[in-house]
Amino acid sequence: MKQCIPLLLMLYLVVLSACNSTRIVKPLAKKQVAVGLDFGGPIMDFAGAKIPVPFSSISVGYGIDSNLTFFGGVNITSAIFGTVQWDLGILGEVIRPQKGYIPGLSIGASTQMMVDVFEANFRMYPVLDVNLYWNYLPKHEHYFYVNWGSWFDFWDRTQGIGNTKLYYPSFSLGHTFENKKMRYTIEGKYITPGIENGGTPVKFNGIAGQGSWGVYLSVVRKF
Amino acid sequence: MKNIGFLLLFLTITLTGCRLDNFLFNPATVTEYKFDAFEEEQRFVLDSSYAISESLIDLMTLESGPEDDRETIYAAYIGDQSRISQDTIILYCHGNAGHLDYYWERAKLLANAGGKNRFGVFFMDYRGYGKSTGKATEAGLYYDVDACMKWLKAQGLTDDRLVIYGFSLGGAPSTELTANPRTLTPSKLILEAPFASFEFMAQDIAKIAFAGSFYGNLEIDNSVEIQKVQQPFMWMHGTADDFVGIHHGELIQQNYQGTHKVIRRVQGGEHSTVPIVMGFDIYMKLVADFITGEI
Repeated sequence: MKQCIPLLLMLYLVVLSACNSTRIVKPLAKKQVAVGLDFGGPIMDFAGAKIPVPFSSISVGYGIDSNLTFFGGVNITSAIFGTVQWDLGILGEVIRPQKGYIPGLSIGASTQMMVDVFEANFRMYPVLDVNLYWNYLPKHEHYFYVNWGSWFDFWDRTQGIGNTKLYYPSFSLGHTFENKKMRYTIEGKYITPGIENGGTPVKFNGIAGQGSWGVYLSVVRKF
Repeated sequence: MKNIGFLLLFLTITLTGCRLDNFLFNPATVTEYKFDAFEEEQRFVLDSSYAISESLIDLMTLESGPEDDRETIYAAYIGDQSRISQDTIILYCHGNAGHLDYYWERAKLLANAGGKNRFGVFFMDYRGYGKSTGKATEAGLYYDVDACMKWLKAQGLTDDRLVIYGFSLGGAPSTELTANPRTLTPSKLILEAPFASFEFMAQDIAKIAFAGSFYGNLEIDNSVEIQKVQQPFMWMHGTADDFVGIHHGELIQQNYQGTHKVIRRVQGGEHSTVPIVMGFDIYMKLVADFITGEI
């Protein structure tokens, strides 16, 4: 059977739904609103090339306080295929970035939720993000960051098969160019290290047959 | 903000017509079947010792499906049609890619199992594949394989001499029509490199336990349907299958609740290479022995 089949398109959605870019790393200013578009996903083989899955979502954020931001998002690609997927969360800045090399520390807690419009199957996954970010240029807001993301999956698998894998980590390195109105971010991510990625029609590019690299872009407008 | 709300509403309500079901099928069309003269790249090409006399090859068309979903499918019978009322027949259901020409060499292997033309072999292009009309669907798979059973029955085949063999996607109609018979009830079921279910595959790739309905409406679930099968069952799967991992087949064979099960985990076998890695002679003997009840 041909190895390169459109079945991978079926499954890109499945995988990508679990692979958003990091929503918000650095809190918004108090009462500030941000609206963003996110693109990208795990890198897979397709027609002889290695491409990031073209996943997309719309995100919003609101600065409850200078160190506390509410955020959410809706997955556009999932919606196209009949699954409404959204996330809601809150990000708190634990340590402000200091002069020199001491980074800021923020922690985000959110839930990814999804329901399909055909059978109304529902899933909800807790997500925890820990971010370190550096404002490395005086008088500028640009920063780069590292992220440790954690998905938790407590749902039984098909046919009532017990779920023995409850934790799905990811690690990201990103950079954000920021000015008064905009944030532009590029992020590289390593998703689910230690988890085998073979034996399926979708060929992901990870390390030694495990996990997948991912690339993401986001553009955010602040109001 | 209002505009964004409307945009989200629009996306959610108006764009939900897309489903991923169709991506399960990867048909190739053709204007003419060539069989031995087919020159495109194949997994293997048999030597002349496996040749089948042209007088024993019959390409035909069949009408398949109910009136509101009827298509003309192409099928090929290898063997002496006048002996269908006496012979044992292997009904071969191919995988999700290609068309009859791609599976011709495999069909010839089966036609040589147990000796040349020991068993009749019948295989078909599902709707949308090869020269068959229409578009591949899950329901269409079942209609098309059942259409072949109708033809075989009309030639005098009875349940006890029908063996159904499903490769990869072909495992779906094979299992379904053995578990829930329509025209004929296969007496034995052979599955090579089957996938467990649509949802199992989705979760297998996503790793996370998403619902299959997030992505499609396919109801294919071989690992559940196999529980209804009491007929003798043989399963073959390559341990190095990187397309449909062997754990798919393992789940199916574990769920089989009949009393006669033959298992072959083929060390180093990939998705399409089980007969090659096993060795053609061993493969053909295995199939023949299973059909004749030697194993």
